[in-house]
Amino acid sequence: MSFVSRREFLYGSALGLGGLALTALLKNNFNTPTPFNPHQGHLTTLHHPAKVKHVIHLCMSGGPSQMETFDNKPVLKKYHDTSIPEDYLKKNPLPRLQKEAKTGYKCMGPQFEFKKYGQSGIEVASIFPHVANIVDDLCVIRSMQSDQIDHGPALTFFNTGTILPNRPSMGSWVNYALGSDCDNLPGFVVLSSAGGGMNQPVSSNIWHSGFLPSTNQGVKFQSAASKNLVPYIQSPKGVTQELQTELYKAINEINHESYKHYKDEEIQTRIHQNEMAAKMQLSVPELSDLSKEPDHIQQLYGPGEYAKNCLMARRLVERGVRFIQLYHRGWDHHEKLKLGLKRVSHLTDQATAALITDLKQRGLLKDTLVIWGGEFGRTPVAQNGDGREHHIKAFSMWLAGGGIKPGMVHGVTDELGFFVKENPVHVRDLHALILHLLGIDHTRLTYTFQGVKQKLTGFEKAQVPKSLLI
Amino acid sequence: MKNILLVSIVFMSPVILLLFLDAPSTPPKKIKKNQIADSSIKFSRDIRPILSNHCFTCHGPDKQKGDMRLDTQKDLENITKSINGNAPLLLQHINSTDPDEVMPPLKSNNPLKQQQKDTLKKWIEKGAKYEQHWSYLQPIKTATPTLKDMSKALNVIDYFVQNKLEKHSLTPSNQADPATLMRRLYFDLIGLPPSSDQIKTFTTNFSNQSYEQLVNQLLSSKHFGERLAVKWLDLVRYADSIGYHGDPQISHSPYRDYVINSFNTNKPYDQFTIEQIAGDLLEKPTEEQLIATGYNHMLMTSEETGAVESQYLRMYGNDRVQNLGSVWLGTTLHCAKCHDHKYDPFTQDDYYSLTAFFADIEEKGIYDNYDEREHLKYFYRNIDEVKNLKQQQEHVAELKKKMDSSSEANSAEASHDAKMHLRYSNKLNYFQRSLIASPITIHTTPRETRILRRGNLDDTGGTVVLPKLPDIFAYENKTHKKLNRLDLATWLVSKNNPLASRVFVNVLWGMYFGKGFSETYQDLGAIGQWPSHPELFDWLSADFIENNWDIKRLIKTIVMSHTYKQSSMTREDLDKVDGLNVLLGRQNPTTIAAEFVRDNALAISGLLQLKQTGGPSIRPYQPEQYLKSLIPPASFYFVDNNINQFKRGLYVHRQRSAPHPSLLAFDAPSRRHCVAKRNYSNTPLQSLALLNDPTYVEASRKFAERIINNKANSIEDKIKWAYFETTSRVASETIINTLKNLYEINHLHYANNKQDARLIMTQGIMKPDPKLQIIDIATWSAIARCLMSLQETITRY
Repeated sequence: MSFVSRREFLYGSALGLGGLALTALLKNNFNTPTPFNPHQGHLTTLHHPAKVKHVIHLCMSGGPSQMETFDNKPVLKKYHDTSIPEDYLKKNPLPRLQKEAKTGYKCMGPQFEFKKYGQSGIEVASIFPHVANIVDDLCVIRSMQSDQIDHGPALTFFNTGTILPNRPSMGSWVNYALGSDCDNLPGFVVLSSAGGGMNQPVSSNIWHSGFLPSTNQGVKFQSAASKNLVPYIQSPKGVTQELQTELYKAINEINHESYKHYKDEEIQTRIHQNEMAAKMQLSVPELSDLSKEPDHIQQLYGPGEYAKNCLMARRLVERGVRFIQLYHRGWDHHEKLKLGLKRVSHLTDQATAALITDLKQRGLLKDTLVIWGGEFGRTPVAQNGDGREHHIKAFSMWLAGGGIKPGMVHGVTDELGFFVKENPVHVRDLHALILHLLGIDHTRLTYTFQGVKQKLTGFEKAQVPKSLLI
Repeated sequence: MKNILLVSIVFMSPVILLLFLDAPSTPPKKIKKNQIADSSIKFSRDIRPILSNHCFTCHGPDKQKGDMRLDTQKDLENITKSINGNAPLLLQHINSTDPDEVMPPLKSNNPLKQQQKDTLKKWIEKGAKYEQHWSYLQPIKTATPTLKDMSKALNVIDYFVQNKLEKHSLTPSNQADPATLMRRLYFDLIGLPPSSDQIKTFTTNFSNQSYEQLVNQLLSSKHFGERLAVKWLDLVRYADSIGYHGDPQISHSPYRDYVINSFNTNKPYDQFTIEQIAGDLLEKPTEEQLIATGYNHMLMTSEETGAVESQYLRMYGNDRVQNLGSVWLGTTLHCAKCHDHKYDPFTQDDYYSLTAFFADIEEKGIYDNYDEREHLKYFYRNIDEVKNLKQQQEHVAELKKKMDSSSEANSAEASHDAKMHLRYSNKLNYFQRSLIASPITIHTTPRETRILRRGNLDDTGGTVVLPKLPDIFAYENKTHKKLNRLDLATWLVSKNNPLASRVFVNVLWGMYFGKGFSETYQDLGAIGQWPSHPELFDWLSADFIENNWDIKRLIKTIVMSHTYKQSSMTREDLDKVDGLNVLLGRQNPTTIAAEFVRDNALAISGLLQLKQTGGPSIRPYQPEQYLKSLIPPASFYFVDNNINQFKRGLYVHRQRSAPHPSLLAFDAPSRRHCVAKRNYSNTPLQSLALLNDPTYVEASRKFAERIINNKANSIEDKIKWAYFETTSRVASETIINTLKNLYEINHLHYANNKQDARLIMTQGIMKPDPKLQIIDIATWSAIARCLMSLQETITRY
């Protein structure tokens, strides 16, 4: 953590912008207190050495089916179109499958062929030809579990560890703890794209800072394809960059005069934030200009909004952004699952693999944790004949990056893919793992709210799945 | 010793900051900043918080490990007594070095600090006196304290506040200057800025009488209700969308207008409460009283296909009780959802018995669509809107017809038609949902309510419960009839509920001083913050009830006090002793709320539309694609391309999952849940909104025209006027020079680049004043943007 560099920034480096040396101006003329730095983390020391500095969460919103991606179930295939054994349903009724409750629950075998890839020989479904090529970099978890079965609550749970309102998301927790290493971009950025299935909505409550200070809130970038990544990042039409810079300068000069009168520390903070805003106005358009990327990189990621977002994620990591979430809304397949998955994998497979490849070739993957997966998985039984319902007892995800064993599979499901047989990883275990890799002990990162020491992992026991760690 | 005690209180938790009761009469010796207390020990203030934060989890109302509990008088007596000369059990355990014996246990990772152990020891030495928690006792009016110096005491508030200051050898601050006072009253009471002319008149003839006249005038302004409504709408989570999943729009605006009108007509708070919770159960309810019951539908609802109906119905019950707990009981009732409350005297049975009060509300867990919201009753419709809707309906029907007939002939055309049909039916849905309507509460046969064991929404095996008030309140049901919502509402605002008045008084106090008596507005229970001025808090709460819950009277009492009128300037002597200004030796500056940041800019520009109070929600400019990640119809947004868009901020469409970015930047809550006090952040996104949001750009351009049209002749005089108009202050030489310089730079640019000046004029729907030069407008709009972005412009001092 480079607190020192941030402090240096505060004391002297507000010079980045032409003629905007306001901090220096303040320092020379007045005996001002240290301005509040909203970007400073609250942990003074890490709990243990960190393995990574950044997190990219590729959230496949809607709930990808494990049986068509990373969890091959030949036995399920054998039972295709036959009734599922009763005891499965006894152990876990399927309340959302109302129609099937009347007509009978039928097994549905994997819809795509699986093959072993790489030196690790991990099985990957045929819809992911690109990801299959980088499978040796991945740690596939086949034993994920969640508590929430509807999209909204499940995404909320996946992000905040609870469905209670006003709770911070993991990105907010991480920024609260570690602060930002980036002085001209938010520490927590959210991007979203859609296509390939029912587009379930995503909304600000899942990247909200809850009871934590609002500076830790995720900032939703509009679209990597647009210049206006952040609302109001562009000066009004007819206002040149020079004029806008002069304007910032004038505002802060007068703010400074107001401070002399009111001695209100909020004015100092505003001066600092205006400087940040001015820098963002310069850095964000530069960030969003993907045309500067060489052809071979553009080709590596391929076309489409999701691909642009992946490329953007890499650029954000390069610039020091701490936590990046990239939602692709298109994985909800209650019917025509096969077609839907073909579409959505076509939109995302190449860019996902490209992101890993690109991070790796730049030496960034070792400092970054990449998480791929949805808020839950899908049922081994069919819905509407050719779709699958939401399922939270077992689903697949993968991780890649610093501190994570590459080329391994963790966890085993039963032969129908209904329940976890070995090494379950609950969502809150994943939270504990994310914090662990960042150098944070999940039991010690707390914030007192409503009289209770709140944690990302909540009150139930969470365990870091140690066997995934290098 | 004193300092040790102080530290012990301060360290209890970052949220529970210190507070105190009887201050020592001698001046405190070098008390560290923010650490004020007295040497006596009070159970409620000093001891219970330690026990609740460190012990109650396992030895409290919910769990009693080893048959031990520390939350009742009897049990505490046993463990604080010395037996056979041994140290009391409590001290033995907290001081033990044996890892198996020490409390709290090591694995809880929640150890006591030495100062806390010392406090407990001292308390036991002094006799281990127990007290009932303060907020469950009736508020009473204690005798008004006497003051050594009465020169700055105007009313009862000042006696209590200044008495405490005197005990710390501190003096209250002087009254703020008249301009600051006027500006403060304007923002606090109506949420609008005064004009420079109003400031001039007021300051020239300033007197105590003219101050009171202004207070009366603002309290009777129709904007008073708009100002206070913003607070209430935060509490009851008012929004224009349903909240869950796709978050489509839903109109609630008649309920919002009911709130505004109720505050404007000074409806007593008890009546206001009863109408909202149970207006439908009143005898022959009026339309207004029915609209009020929209309160019961302010919660988030869902239209997610496939979601489980029964779960959501139970979530709605929980949501209502949580809101009830926050707004009328100052209690975190939802803690008792899964188990008995860990700190406060509420059982899980109490919790579900409260949800049972709402089981008679006709509703669905999952609504299929808008039409199905059968409880919706349309009160009135705007004729133009209905006409528009009809046209749209016809259009959709036509498309559908075309689609059906062409589907076999040409599949490409059919797919195009299908897309169009989908788009238009979504649009239709959008229009339909935006029609003015308000859901009301309709009483029906109550659903069965059961305790959900461990809070599990799927549980069906818990005990059946009937509507009942929590046992702690010892409510006597004299009629022996089953209780209903009306009984609940009536009791909430009866003298037997010690909490409703306290919560509301605290919220108002927070509005006018920047911090409440207790900063944990929604939790006045065992782990809530000890109030800064307990006797005054009690006095005002009792007074509010005695005077028939008269809201305007309460507010007037507050703003007529010297305490309110004090300058907000920091003072070194105060800072040394009371850095957080808990004692209120001065006022606190506060950033104005999101809606008023907008109102302020529009007011300065002259664009603000104040004529019509209420009406449908408005849609100001918003970045395109801002709602893209939602699904239709929520992802649609049609800007109001007329002057409606300049109505006040409280009328702006509130999409729960994506509030307007400028409001969001200034911490407007999502309205998903109750917010009694907003977070006030200070971020670069705010700077960007003030400078670049088209609403502000257009406002700056119109303010520029006002500046040019102002009778002041020279550039310097115009600058002086504009600065005064924005901040109510006289510009210093430096400020004038800065702005002159800015003027020169911009003027040079726009004189040489007229096309840029033209571009400025294109922003927003308002045409530029044809009598003016666009170069001048563009130039002055830079000055205007500068002034509207100043921190002092958005601060109420």
